Amino acid sequence: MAENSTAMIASHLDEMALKIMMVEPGDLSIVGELVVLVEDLQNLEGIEEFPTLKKMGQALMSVIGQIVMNELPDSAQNYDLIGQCIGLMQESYRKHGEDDVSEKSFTALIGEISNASPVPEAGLPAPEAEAERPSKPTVAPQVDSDTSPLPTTPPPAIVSGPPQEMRILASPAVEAMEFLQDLELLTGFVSETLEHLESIEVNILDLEDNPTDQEIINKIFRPFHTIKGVAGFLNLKNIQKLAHSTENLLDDVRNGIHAMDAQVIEVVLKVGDFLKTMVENLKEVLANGPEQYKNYDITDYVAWVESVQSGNPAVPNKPAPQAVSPTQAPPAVAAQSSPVVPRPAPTAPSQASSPAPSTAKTPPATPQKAAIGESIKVDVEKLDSLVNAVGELVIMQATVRSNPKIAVLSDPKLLKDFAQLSRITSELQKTAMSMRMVPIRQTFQKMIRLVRDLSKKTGKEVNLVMEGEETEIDRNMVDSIYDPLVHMMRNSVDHGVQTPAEREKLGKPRAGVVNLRAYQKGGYMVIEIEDDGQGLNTEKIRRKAIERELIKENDKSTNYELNNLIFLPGFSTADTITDVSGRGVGMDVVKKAVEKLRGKVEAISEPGKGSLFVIRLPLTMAIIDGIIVRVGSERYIIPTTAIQESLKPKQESYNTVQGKGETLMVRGSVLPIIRLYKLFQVKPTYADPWDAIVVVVDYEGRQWAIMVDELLGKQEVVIKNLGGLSDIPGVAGGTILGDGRVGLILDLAGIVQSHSGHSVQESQPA
Amino acid sequence: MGAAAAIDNSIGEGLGGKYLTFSLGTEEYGIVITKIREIIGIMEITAVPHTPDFIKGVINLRGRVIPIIELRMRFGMEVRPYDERTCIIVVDVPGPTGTVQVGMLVDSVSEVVNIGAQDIEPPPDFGVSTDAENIIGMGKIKGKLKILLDVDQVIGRTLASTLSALK
Repeated sequence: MAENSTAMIASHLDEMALKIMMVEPGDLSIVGELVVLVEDLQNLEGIEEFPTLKKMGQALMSVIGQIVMNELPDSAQNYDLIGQCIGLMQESYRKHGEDDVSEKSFTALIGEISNASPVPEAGLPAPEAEAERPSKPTVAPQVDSDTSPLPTTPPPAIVSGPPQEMRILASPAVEAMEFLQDLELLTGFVSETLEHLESIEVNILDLEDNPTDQEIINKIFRPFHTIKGVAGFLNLKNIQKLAHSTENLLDDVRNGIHAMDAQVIEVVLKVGDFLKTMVENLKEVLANGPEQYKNYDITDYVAWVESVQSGNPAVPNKPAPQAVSPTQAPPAVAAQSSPVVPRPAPTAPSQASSPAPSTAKTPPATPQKAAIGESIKVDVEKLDSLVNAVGELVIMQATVRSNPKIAVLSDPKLLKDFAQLSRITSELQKTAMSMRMVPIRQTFQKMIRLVRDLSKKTGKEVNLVMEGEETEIDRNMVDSIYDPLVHMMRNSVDHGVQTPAEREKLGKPRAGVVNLRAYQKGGYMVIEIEDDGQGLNTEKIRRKAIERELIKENDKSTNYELNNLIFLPGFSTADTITDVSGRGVGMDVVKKAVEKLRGKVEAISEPGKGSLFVIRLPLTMAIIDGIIVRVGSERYIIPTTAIQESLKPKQESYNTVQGKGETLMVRGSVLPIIRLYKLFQVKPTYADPWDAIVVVVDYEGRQWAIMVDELLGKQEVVIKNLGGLSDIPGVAGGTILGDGRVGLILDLAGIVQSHSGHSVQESQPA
Repeated sequence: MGAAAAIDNSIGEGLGGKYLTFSLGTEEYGIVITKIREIIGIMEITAVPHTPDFIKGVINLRGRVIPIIELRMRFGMEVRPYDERTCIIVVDVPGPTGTVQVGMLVDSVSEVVNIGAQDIEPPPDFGVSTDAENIIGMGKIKGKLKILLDVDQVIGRTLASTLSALK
């Protein structure tokens, strides 16, 4: 029980670490989620065993609370400090509170946050942060919302930048909330509006590159129009008004009265964010009742939008309301030709899944047109249960066919019908599977904004080049891959790419390039993040690893192995690999998140030239191609992707090393032998490798010979989790074999690790 | 621990209801019927490595893979070979991510009985023995005692601690 609660604390800290990565100044909703996490941590069972951690949590909660209450500045720099605090908490957890260094630095950090200048001067960086902060951005002429200190209520005449905060007015009485009368309509509005807002964001970013493209302007204008219309119909006055004023501005832009400039883009982005907040709030109302409703104050925003529209911030004039009857606006998207962010048509066979390399700069109209097609929305649960049922069908068919009474029949008609039946079922299975696949485009497109904001903030010039957005990924994985991806993109921009000045000194072009690629290879979906920045400092990593006793002084690890040590817990990129201050959150959270998806992540880097991070994910969480092997009375499935060959070894090629390690010579290379029966404690048929069969597998660039009794065949299997049994070392899951029994699917990472107890394992304090 | 204390206070009240009784050796046990999914005969079990002995492995329950806990081993009782009366009682217990189904391997299933709240006594005090936590009370039926098990505790907690021990 104690181990369980300890593990809970660890995973909780990881979650906090991931969450702080997501926080952006001005986005208090995520800060709120963080508060909940910290609060939960305080109440976890077993936290009493970590008094230091508990104390830290309390201190952390109080500073975050102050930020939320606007008593401390809501600035990036404070979040960086909080990130470091969380890093220290992880550190303290690992050392089981026996290390008071973390606690001391923690207290110092908290002090630093609390002593930060009061809110109005929020934009000023603290002196030590300034030294690390690169020179002011030269690219963006627009108002930087993070650094423009605005009085909370702007004077009516001058509205030069986006309002700083979203103020909330007293909520009206529940009876007054007319929009609650038709909940179904409201639910539809919420989901459609969120889609609209996403499409707006994507299009506005395109517009930055093609500011005169009338088609894109229309694509932004229309969703605002729809949102306004439906909001009016539902009597959501705030949303309607805000969307309306923005629509007016865009109408001017469309008609050439107002130029499409940086300010307009800023307006659209900020208004989009605000609308999103309001709609998210409605979602909460739908989920938890009308008392959740927040009556946001939009007057500042409307004033700002109007002042931008008038072109002269000093003289805001009221735009004439346009004659658009809200009731005429159709509540359904279908009637409008507005661009919905493409969703795959569930019934259509998936588009070419091979990666057609194309850059992010392709004309935006093309992919969207292609994807609009005919499509219907389906409840995810229904889809999942369909996929499960089809999986059952396939298994059942195999079971019926292998029934001994049926297997002896040789009626040609029956055999033909069986063949036909299996064709149909496998077709059905393929289609059902493809329904769960969605292009990764949406996730990638969110990175455009991220990189844009990051480069603006750090004063770096970064070109994001995307390839293979069409590549499909299991929809169950889309959400889980987002956080690690954001973390790594941040890493590449923050730590990888150097400032323009530095780059020029090195003879590189001013603008750094971050490549974000997706493609399919074998049974994997690969995502690559490559930058042409400074690369990892392998020597520093080595020293740090020695210091942490992860490797020995004379360790002969290759650069590749050393670089990949950054994925170990406590190996923060902040103070070791680059000198740029980060959030102190290690890459281990990325690794854990990716491994949860049964994927892997590796780093390849060349100092001075840049780094390449490769995430490899299984295409689907549901099916793998595997070889069934037998060990004693048990059967296991080895994923085909990892298998190189299988052979019956000769006795001459077998050797032992110092009486302990066993090796096998295969085609000139010496491979360590893993006796599966020993690892899994089952009784084998053969005890000597030369009687048995070895399967040569590749794991992290090394080969291993796994010893089994017999190969039984190759089969596509549906992966199932083992009920409540998860995280069993060496076991990725189970499947149901032809005879109805459960077979275990092997997890090579776990097998290799539990076999070798590799030198790069975390040194556990006693 | 907190949960056990809470149960102590509410002994008798709210515990009355229908119980499925089964036997392990000479002892008779009961579990609340609402926790039970179904009862199936013994079938071939696939062993799962790196798990404690009392986790016999996993079975295929109509396409779903569920773990099987041998209750005799869980209670440290002597193991005996399975026979035609050996049963698997499939129960719903809280898992790390929502409810999971787990099979309990028992000697034989007896009957479903109605036990009134007045017929339930608090669990006996075994001093330091932690296994008393697994018991919500002792039911009296026709002069015989049935040990009423807290399934969430016996199965759910066992599973959870097994998993965390693996990490």
